[in-house]
Amino acid sequence: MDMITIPAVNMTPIMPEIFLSVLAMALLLINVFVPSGQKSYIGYISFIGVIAAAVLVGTGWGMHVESFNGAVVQDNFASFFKMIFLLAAGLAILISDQYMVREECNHGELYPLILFTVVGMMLMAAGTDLMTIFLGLEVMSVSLYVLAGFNRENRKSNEAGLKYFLLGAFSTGFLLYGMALTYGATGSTRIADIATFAAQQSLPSSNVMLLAGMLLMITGFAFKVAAAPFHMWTPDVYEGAPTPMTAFMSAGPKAAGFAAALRILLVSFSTMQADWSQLFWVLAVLTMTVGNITALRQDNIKRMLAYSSIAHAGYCLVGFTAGNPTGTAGIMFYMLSYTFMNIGAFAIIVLVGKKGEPNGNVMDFAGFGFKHPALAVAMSIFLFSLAGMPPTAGFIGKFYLFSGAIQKGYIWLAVIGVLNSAASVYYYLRVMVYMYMKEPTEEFDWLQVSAPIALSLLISVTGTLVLGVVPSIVLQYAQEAIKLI
Amino acid sequence: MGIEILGLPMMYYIAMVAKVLVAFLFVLLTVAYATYAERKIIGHMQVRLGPMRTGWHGLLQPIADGLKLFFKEEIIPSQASTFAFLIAPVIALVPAFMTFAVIPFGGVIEVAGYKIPLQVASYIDVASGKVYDVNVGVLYILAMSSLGVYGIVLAGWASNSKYSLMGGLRASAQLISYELSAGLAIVSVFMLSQTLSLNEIVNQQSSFNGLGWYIFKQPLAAFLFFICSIAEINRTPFDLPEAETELVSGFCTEYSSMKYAMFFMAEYANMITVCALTTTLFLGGWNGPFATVFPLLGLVYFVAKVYFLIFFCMWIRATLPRYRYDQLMHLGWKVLLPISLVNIVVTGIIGYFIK
Amino acid sequence: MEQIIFYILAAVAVIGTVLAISEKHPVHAILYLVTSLFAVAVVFYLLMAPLVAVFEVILYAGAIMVLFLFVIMMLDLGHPEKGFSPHWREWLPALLLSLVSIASLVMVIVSRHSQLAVPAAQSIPIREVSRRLFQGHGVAVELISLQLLFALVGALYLGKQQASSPGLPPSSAPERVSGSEEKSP
Repeated sequence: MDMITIPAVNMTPIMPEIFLSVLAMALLLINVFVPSGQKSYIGYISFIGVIAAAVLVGTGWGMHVESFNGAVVQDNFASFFKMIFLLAAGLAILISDQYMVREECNHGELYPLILFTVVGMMLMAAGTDLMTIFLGLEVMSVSLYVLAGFNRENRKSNEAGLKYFLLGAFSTGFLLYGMALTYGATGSTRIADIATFAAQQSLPSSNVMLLAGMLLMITGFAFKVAAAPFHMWTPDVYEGAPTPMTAFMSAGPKAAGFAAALRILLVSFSTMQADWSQLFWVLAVLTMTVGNITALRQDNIKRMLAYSSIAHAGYCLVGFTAGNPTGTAGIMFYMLSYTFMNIGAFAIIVLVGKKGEPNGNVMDFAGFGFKHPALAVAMSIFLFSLAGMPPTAGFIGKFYLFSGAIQKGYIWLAVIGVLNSAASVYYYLRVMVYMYMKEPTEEFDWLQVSAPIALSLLISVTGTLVLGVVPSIVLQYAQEAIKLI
Repeated sequence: MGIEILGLPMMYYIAMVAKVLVAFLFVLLTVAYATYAERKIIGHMQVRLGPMRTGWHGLLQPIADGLKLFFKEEIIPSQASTFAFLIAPVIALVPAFMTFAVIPFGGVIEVAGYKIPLQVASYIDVASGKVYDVNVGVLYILAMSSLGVYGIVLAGWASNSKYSLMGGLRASAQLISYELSAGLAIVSVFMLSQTLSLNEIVNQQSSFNGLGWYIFKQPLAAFLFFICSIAEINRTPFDLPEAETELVSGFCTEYSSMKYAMFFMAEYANMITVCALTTTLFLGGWNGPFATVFPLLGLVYFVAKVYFLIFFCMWIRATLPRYRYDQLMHLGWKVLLPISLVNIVVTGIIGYFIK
Repeated sequence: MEQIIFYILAAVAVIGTVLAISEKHPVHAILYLVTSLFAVAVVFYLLMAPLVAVFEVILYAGAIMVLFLFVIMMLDLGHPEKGFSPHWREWLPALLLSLVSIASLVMVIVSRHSQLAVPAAQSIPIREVSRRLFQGHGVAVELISLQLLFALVGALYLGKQQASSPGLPPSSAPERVSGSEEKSP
C-alpha cells in the first residue's frame, strides 16, 4: 500500500488565526480553574491576545503569500480587514467586562467565543476559496449565535440568540446554494479559477447558472450584512443581545461580510460588474432609506442604533455599486471608522444602562450632559461621526463612498445617500438634545467608569477624531490593499 | 457496478435471483430456528428442558409459534397513530434483511461453466476474474442498521402508550450512543485492510491457510464491535428498550399478531446480520483451511462461524443480568468510546512503524 | 434504465420534501424527510458517489433525523394545535426569499446547459476522495472541526443549568436524570 504523503504547507498566512484559536482553546481550559468571581482575568488575557494577533497581522503587511493550494491568502486586503476585526473584538472585550459583571453573567466562555468569532471573520477575509469563505462564515456565525443569546437569564437575549440562529442558518442556505451553483457552472471553488472561467466567456452574464449563483451569494451576504430587504432580523437581535455583543456584531461580522463579498465580486465576477452594480444600486437605496426612516421612529436607543447600522450598511453598498478603487477603499475606510464610532457609542450605552433594564430609552439620556460632561462629549463625538459631520471619521468615510459613486456616474445614488445622511441627523441629534437640553429625570449616580471601558472610550474617541482629521494615514493603506486584489 | 445491467448474460440474472433466494431463506430459517435454539439453549443452561411437546424435542415449535401469531387477532389501539403504527414493523424488518445483500457468504463457485461469487450485490469480471462488490459495503451495513431504529422509535411513539414511548426513547438513545463506538471499532479494521469492500476484507484474511483473521490483529476492536453490536440490536444485557420487568414489553407492548411477529423476526434477523458481519470483519468470513480449494467448504465455514456467534449471544443472555440505564450510557460514552479511540490511535502508530 | 430509476427517485425526493413541509404533524414530517433523504442518497449512488450516498444515510437519515425524532418525542410535540395562520407581514420575508430562490432555480432550469464545466461522472474510490479531502482541503477540514468544537462549547454553555439561578431546579448530572426516568412510569 502506498503511503499518503503529507503536502508541505505554508502556515504563515494563517498564523494569526492559529494563534487565536489556540489561545481560545487554552482559555477554555483555563476557565475551568478560574473561580467564578474572577473571570475578568480571562478577558484581560484575551485582550492581550488580540493585541498580539494584531502585531502578527501587522508584521505580515505588504507580503503576498498563498497557501493550502490557494485556499487561503495573505495579502494587504485581508490584513486590513483583519485589523478591523481585531479592533472590534478588542473594544468589545474591553466593554464586556463591566456589563457582564453587572448582569451577573460574566462567564469565562464569553472571551473564547469572541476570539473564535474573530478567527472565522479573518478566514472570511483571507479565504480565496468559496469553501474557506463559507466555513469562515459558519465559524463566525455559530459563535455569534451563542454570543447573542449569552445572557441566559434574560428572555430578550434568548430570543435574540434563537432568532439570529434561525435566520442566520436560513441565509447560510442561500449562500451555500449560490456557491454550489457557481461551482456547478465553473467546476471550481477557487475564486481565481472562477474568474478565469468567467473571463473566457464572451458574455459571462449569459451563463445563467453562474448568474444565479452570483445572485444567491449576494442574497446570502446581504443577509449577513443586514441589507434591506433582508434586514428583518437585525433590530430584534441587536436589541436583545447583550449590549457589548451588539456593538461587536454591528461592526465585526458586517465588515467580514463586506470583505468576503468584495473579494468574491471583485475577483471572481469582475467581468460581470455591470450586472451586480445594478443590483447593488437597488440594494443600497433600499437599505439606506429603510434603515434611516425606521430609525427615525425608535425610542429605544439600541433599536435606533440597530436601524442606523442598517443604514450604514447601505452607505457601504454605495461603495459596492461604484466598485471602483475610490468606492471600495471607501468601504474599508468606512468600516474601520464605523467600528470606532459605533462601539464607542455602545460603550456609553453600557455605562448608562442598569442591571436588568440595559435597554435604555433615548429619554434616559436626559440631563446626561450636565452630570457627566466628559462622557457626554464623547457620546456627542460618536453621534456626530455616525451622522457624518466633519471633522469626524464618519464624514470622510461617506465622502469617499459617495465620491466613488459620482466618479462612476451614479449621481442620483450619491444624492439619495446624502439626503439619507441628512435625515439621519435628526435621530442622532435627538439624543444630544436630550443630553444637553432636557432636565435630568433621575440621578446618574450608579454610573461608574471602569478602567477597561475608559480605555475603550479613549481608543474610540481618538480613532474617530484622528481618522476625521488626518484620514490619509489610513486611507493610503486601504488604497494599497484594494489595489492588490 | 450494476451500471451495465443490460450488457450482462442471462446466467447473471439467474444466479442473482438464486443468490437472493438462498440468502433470504437462510436468514428466514435461521430466524425461525434461532428462536427455538434460544429457548432450548437457555433452558439447558438453566437446567430446564425448554420446549418438548411440539414434535421431537419440540422441533416444530417455531412453526407452531408462527401459526399461532398468524391467527391471532390484530389490534390497533384506538389512540394510536395508525399510519406510523402500521409502517413501523415493516421499517424494522426490511433493513434487517437488506443488510445481507453485501455480506459475502462464500467464495467463487462455478455452476455450468459460469463463475458465481457468493455475495448478493456483486458480479465477477470474467476477463480478469476479479470480483466487484459495493465498495462501501461496511458503511452500507451501518446505514441500514441505523435505519432499522426508525421502526422501533416509531413503534414506541405511534402506540401512544408510555411504556412503548419509553422503549422507543431508550432504543434511539442507545443506538446513537453505541453506533459511534461500533463505527470506530470498524475503523481500526479499515486501517489494516485499507478498503471498505467486504469482499476485499475477507480476501485479505485468507493468509495462513485461511486463518489470518483480523481478530488476531485487532482483538480489542473485535471485542468492542461485538459488544456495541449487541447493544445496537437491543439484546441482553442491553435489552432496555423491551425490558419486560420495567416496561412490560417496551416498544412492542401494543403490538399483536403478525406485526409483533415482524418485530420478533427483525430482532433475530438483526442478530444474524451482526453475527455475519462480525464473522466477515474479524473471523475471516468464509475463510478457513482448504476453503479456497473447495468453494462450498467456505459456505460451511461461514455458516458455522455465524452459528457459533449466535450461540455466543444466547450464552451471554443466559449469563448476564440487564444493565441499568445510566450504567448503559456510562459504559457506552465513558468506557467503550475512549477505548475505541485509543485503539485507533494505537493501530495508527503501530501501522506507521511496521510499514 | 438508470434514467428511469433516477426520475422515480427524484420524484420521491421532491414529493417527500413537499409533504415534509406541508405536514402539520412533526413526526410524520420527519418520516417524509427521511424518505426524501433516502431517495437523495440513492440518487448519489446512481451518480457514482457511493461514499456520499452511504454518508447521507448514516448521518442524515440515520443519526440526525433520529435525534430530531428523539427530541420531538421527548418534548411530546406530537399533538399539533390548530395552526394559526400568520399575518401577511410575517409571511413577507419568506415570500421574498422563496421568490429569489425559485427565480434562480427557474433561471437555471430554463437555461441551456451547454457550458457545464463539471467533469464527467466516474466512480471515485474512497482513497481518492480522502486524499482530495485531506490534502486539497486540509484547512477546510480543520475549520469544520474547530467549528464543531465551538458549537459544542456554545451549546453546552447555553444548555448548562445554573445552580444559582432562581426558579430553576438545582443542577443535576444528566445520568442521574435518565436514571430517575426509569422509576417514573
